[in-house]
Amino acid sequence: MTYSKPNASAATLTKNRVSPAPVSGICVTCLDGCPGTCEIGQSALRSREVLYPKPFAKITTGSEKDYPIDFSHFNIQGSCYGAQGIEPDSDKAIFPAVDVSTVLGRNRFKVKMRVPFMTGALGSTEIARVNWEGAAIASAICGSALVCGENVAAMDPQAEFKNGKVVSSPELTRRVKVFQDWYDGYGLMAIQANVEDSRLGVHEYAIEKLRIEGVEIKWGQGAKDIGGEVKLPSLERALLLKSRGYVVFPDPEDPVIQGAFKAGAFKEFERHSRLGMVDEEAFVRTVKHLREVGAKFISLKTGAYRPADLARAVKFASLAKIDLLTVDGASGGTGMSPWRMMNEYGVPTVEIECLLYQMLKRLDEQGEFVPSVTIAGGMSLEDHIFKAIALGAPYIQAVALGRATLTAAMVGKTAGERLMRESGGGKEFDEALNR
Amino acid sequence: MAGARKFKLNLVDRDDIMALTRQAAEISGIAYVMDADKEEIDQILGKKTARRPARRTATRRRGA
Repeated sequence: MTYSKPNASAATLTKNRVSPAPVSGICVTCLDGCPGTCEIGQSALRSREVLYPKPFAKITTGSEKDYPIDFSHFNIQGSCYGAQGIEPDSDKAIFPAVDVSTVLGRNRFKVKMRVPFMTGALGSTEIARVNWEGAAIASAICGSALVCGENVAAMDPQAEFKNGKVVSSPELTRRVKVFQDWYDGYGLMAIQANVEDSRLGVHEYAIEKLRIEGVEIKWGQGAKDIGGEVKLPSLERALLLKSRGYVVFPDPEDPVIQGAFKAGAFKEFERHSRLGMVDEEAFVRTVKHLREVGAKFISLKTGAYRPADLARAVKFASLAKIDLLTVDGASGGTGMSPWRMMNEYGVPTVEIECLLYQMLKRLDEQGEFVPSVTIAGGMSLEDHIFKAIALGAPYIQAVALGRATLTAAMVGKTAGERLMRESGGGKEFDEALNR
Repeated sequence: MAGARKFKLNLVDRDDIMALTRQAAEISGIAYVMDADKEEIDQILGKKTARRPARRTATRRRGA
């Protein structure tokens, strides 16, 4: 049997003509004359467009591969005996008495959260930008943590730069303000930085000008083994982002490419972030620098890289005494990533959490500093949160839910817009909301 | 959490889940469902002994 479903997927809007061969995904009989609705057929016509889930800007996407082990391979142990954390008295040990709050951070600055989950990083993909408001307000109301993902300042068409450093980003300012307006003492907003963001001084700008307390250094995420990506629908955007230092493909400065784009040969450019070059000394130096410029809470986000890189993340996080390590396993979602990479790269979440547990335990037994840890990668519901915390106990303080939190924000936004249209706004809208 | 009898999040531990397959148990170190709670079961029921067969067996039927 095969765990993969290659060559045809709702993600790439492709399908087979008849039943596929399980490994190749090619129809068991590939018929000359077929218009080519599978990924191979569409690639022959549309080339690299087929690499990515569609339609960009309107979706989040999660992998389809059915990994050998996942959280459904564990069940929660219920009991009819006793209680811990409360008096074992049937009138006191009622379910509303459960305390699901958690605390992130092992240094002096701690983040209290009312709930044991936080968002994934919502960055420069269009789906994240459009739905930021709902996610941020909900995170603040829940008392949860929220991460503004990579590339936001650099992608901001209104951003201003001086000597290669960002000095103003209305989009980043907007995102921070939305959260801060609703923040009531629980949770935190952190701003992420990758290679490009670091070169542009995004963290320094966010700390000094936007009074951000939390910053996140990004090594990667579960959905991809490479840097962040988006699609760009215009030549102007492509040229702007190339000028800001991104890898843009195909080259928007090439007159042949410009001609092809204007003729409609392709409709979107790709903007890619760089591969980071992780280094212990540079990492410790970066953390020290961020503390010096005023970061109160420092987090490292890493993806589903090979186990030795997980060991590097754990070790560097310990050496630098950062506040939080987030590990995102394969099956984590994204707004854009090469589809085959999403499915076929990386250590799946249960295995990565098991490795993580072993590594943290080893550090702990050595008497080394162990940061707070959150785990991410394809989780969505309350039982996943419980199982993930139990599997890595006592080292996991919360679970990051990328797609699930965004799904909730999108549905809320859609329902709100529909109610507004139907009610016409005003008092009728308020009444409609209550119903 | 209430069903698991854990009323604070930091009391949730590895013993609060069980592996449903031997492979999941091997990878995670979480007890396989059929092996969970062995020590507590021994405390409750007394340790297994091989000395005397159980009184009620399918092969020993009274009457016809």
